[in-house]
Amino acid sequence: MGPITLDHYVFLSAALFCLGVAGVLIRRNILVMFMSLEIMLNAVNLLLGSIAAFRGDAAGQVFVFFIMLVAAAEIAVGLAVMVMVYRNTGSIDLKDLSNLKW
Amino acid sequence: MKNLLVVLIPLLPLLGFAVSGLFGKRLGKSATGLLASGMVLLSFLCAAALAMLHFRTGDSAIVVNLFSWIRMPGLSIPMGLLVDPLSLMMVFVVTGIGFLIHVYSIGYMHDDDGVARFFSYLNLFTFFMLVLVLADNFAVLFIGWEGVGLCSYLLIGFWFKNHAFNGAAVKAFVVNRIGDAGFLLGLFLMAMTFGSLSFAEVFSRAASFGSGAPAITLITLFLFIGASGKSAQIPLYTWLPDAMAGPTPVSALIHAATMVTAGVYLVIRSNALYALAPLTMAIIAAVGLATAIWAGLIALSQRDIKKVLAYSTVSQLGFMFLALGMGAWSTGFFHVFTHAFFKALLFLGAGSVIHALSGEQDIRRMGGLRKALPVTYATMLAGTLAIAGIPPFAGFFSKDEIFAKVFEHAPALWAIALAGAFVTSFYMFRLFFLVFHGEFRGDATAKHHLHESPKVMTAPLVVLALGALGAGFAGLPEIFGAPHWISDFLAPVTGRGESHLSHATEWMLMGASVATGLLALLFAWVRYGVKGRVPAEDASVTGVARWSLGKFFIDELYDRAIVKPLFRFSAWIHDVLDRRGLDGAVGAIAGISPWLGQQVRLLQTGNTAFYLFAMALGVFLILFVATLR
Amino acid sequence: MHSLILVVFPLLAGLAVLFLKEAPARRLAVVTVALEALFAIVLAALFGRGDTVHYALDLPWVPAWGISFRLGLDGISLVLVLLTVLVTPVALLLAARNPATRTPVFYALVLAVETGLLGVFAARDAIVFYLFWELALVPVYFIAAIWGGEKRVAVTLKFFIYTVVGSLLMLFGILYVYFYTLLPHSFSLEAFYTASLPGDAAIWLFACFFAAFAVKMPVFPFHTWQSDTYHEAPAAGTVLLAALMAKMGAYGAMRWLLPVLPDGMHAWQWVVLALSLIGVVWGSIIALTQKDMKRLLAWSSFAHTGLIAAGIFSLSFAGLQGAVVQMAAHGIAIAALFLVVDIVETRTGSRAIGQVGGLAHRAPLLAVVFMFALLSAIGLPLTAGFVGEFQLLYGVAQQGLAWALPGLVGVVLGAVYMLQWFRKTMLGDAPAGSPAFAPTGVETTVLVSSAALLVFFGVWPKWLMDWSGPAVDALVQLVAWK
Repeated sequence: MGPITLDHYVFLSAALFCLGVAGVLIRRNILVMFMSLEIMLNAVNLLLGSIAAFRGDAAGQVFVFFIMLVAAAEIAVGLAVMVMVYRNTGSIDLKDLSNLKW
Repeated sequence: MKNLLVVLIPLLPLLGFAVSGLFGKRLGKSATGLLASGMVLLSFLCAAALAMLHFRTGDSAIVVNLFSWIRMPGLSIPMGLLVDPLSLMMVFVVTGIGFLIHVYSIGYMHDDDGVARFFSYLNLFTFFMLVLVLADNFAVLFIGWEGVGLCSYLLIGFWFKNHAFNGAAVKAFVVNRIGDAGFLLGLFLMAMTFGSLSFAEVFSRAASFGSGAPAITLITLFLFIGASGKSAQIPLYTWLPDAMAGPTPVSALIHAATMVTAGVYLVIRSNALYALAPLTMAIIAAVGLATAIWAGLIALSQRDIKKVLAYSTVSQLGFMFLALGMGAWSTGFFHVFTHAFFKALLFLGAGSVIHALSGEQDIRRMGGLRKALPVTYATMLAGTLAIAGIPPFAGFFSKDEIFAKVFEHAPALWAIALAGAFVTSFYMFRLFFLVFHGEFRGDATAKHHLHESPKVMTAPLVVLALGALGAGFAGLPEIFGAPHWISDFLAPVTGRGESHLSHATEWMLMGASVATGLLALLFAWVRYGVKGRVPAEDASVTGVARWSLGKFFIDELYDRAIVKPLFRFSAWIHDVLDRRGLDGAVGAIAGISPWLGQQVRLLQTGNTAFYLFAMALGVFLILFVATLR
Repeated sequence: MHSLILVVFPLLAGLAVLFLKEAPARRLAVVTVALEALFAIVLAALFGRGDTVHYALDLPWVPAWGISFRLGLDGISLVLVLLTVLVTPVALLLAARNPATRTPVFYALVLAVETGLLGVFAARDAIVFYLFWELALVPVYFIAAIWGGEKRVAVTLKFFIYTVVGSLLMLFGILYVYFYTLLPHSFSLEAFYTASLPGDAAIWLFACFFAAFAVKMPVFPFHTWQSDTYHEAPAAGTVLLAALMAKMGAYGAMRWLLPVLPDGMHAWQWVVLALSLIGVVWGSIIALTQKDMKRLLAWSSFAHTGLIAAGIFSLSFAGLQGAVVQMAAHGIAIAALFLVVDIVETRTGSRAIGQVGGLAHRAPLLAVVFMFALLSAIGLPLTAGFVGEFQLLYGVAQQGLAWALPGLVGVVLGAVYMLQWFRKTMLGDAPAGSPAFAPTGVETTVLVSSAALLVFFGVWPKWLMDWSGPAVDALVQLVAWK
């Protein structure tokens, strides 16, 4: 095993991202989809951080903080929405949420 | 000074129109009548003064350019007036006879409520008619041309409470408009061919075209379409008999003496063009002769005194065009001149009869009026003799001259024309005997009311009767050795016609037409004077007479072949083609978007997972395409 | 600067009108249009000769893209500006005499339309032109959609979509031409005249511009919104539409279509000429059997604009100048006729032809001025209508005599439907006991001055010709030049 290169980080984050996408597409439980979404965000964070480290440029790491901030806000809003959905429909299953259907 | 006089001639009646139109109600009936008549008289005097000042010495024309009217590169139309022998003669006819008819109207329209309106229209008509004859280019002539058409419309529909009268007025205007459309085409072609619409320039430039040049033939044909509308020739004559709905002085002034001769005037004025278009000349002669006979046949069995006179006018106009078709310009004008006297006289006489009978126009309810209306009787006799061509009355000379010219060019046409003269004489004396001889056929109250018209009406009759007697002496035939005053005077405009007939032939022709007239008189006398026949009830008329009575059903034909289909077509084109077709197509195109929406919204399944999948797929596709490049 | 004041003043006054009560709002609106009219007449009086653009203004707006607030008046613009300032008061009068439309908002919208129209006629920059083009449209949309008749929503929507589609195509055309103007790119009129378009672009670009102008005029077959919209819109809106907005299309074609795309113009000439003339016959024939006065006028307007369009597309001096003269004549006559219709409708409660009759007895003065406007509409000599019609037909005839025939059919049929209308409405016997009425002082003033103007310009069209002559001449040069 050689030293850990940038490639390792890129592959790791790509794998994490695909995992997230798959989770969002496959799962029906909104809470789990939400977690998958977080995985995708963190995959991007990982990529940004590692590339920033390798390039010696702090800008990428600054972005990471922004994204974490936004993600926190998103979770706050998203969980609130989810609670409201549960109260109104008694379920957090995606297939029950088709009121906007024609 | 001369220019001022020229401008005053049309302007005075216009002033009269403005004053009686704006303040007529306040001025009162007699004042407006006097004002209107006075303006026309002043106009006549201006023309007379002009003649004294200018034309005694045989000078050429006076041209007055008032201002530039329409101006484009390559075509400039001034508001220009022209006084030359032809227009001066027409001015005399229009203002002279116009004045007499104005005076007559003071009496005739005395009891009408709309006197002020009537006189303002009459003055407006005189203005436009004077513009027509004084124009120095075709566009200004067209102003007068359409203007008199408007006044004719206004005066036919003068009693506008009557819907039928209004219909006749619209018909007159529209039929004239059809002719005017032809006139306009002629103007455009003329402007494009010669680059000008002024008489002088057009005629001098036309000279460089050879005889029978297509452009000139077309121009003259288009102008003739206009002329046949205004002068009521086949196929556009149907409006004139209906135009009798107007007050009788109007029929005398507009629909007999002046306006309807505008077409003849137009052709005489453009004789330089027509001389270059033999085809058009042949058509004019044919149309003129056909109209003369056709209208004469219809006049034979009409029951309305004014309708008989109306068809007789159409017929006489046909004779004028026949003369023009022969290239006999001054002869055509001579007949315009004499016709103006005797036809105005006949109409005014008829008006006097109608006045005496409180509006009755059916000759079956007249008869024996010679005792009650002696002046009218005598003057009408003069008019009838004149139109029948009995010497020495005016019609004899002018008609004889026409016949001589026709015989010279086409003896066959002469024979037909002679038959036409026979018809003319017959229907006129039929009318005369039915109205004035025999026993009165109206009811007792009408008989009780019979009265001769007031002096203000009979005086113009007498003057016109003198004209009907004497106007012919302005153009004595060559064989009498006296100068042909009309032809000499018009020579600068029309050129001098050469006659190649021997004296013997001329005597023969003269004898033939006099004999024809007298023969017809005799027939009419026997049938209506001696035997006292009265036209039968409409329903009992059969055979050929029925066609004559029904005016050959041309109005019905036009109605069924043109008017009704046009209106049906209008409804169809609106309902089917426009609303359902075009607007439907627009609606259909607009309908595409809702339809597309219907289709596309099927994609909105409401299944979030499907949306997500579609989104991921989209991203993937975009990335895939991006990497391919 | 003069032109800027002229154009913007009504809009500013309109904004002020919004905040007033009805009576002061009406007074302010009246004062505004009066001042505008006065100002425009002064500008006309001081108008110099020659084809140069007068009262020019060039305020940089977006310099990077070559957009400038360019205004200016040449002879053609001047005539239409005068028409606008003279007809807008009529629209205002119609708004104020109708209880439903007697509101400050309505006045403000009328004033906004005036600004839009004046802007269109004065604009010498494509973006500015487009801006005012839409500015004129939107208020009329609201006028028709809020105060219109029963079917106003559907009808107005149709009108709106029609014009917006046309406008968008034009906007696309404007942007396309912009990118082929000489460097530095500019939206100015002069830059558009000198743009060098690639290949056959002019051919399809012509269709884009034509769509906008053809809808506005309208030209056959883009007219199906017209009779419905005229019928549904309130009287003031109809006057604005018929007397003024139809002229925007014709003006736009003269200023932004012919000289910008002469190649396209020549390629399409026969098609558009034929369409215009079909419109003349189409409208005239349909007008024969119309039962509603407003619809009758709509169809007659359609026929008249068809002839105007034909004159423009004849590309001849006579046709183009005739279009200018006829736009003025038709604008005045149609405004007067719509006013007559509105007077008849408010006094008798109906505008169906055949339901009212014998009005000449009850309102002689109305019948007289009606006659004058009608005579101009049917092109009787010594009215302005004749001068325009004569020039138009002459211009069309220069493309071949046969082209004038459809126009003449329109002339003949025009006499039929107009005189029938007059006969059925004004003549005949009035029903017993129907009271006499006279138009009010203001109405009389407007009607009599319209009649006077029509006769004046019929006898003395020289001013119209002197103003428009050099501009039309320049236009003819531009079209022939490329």
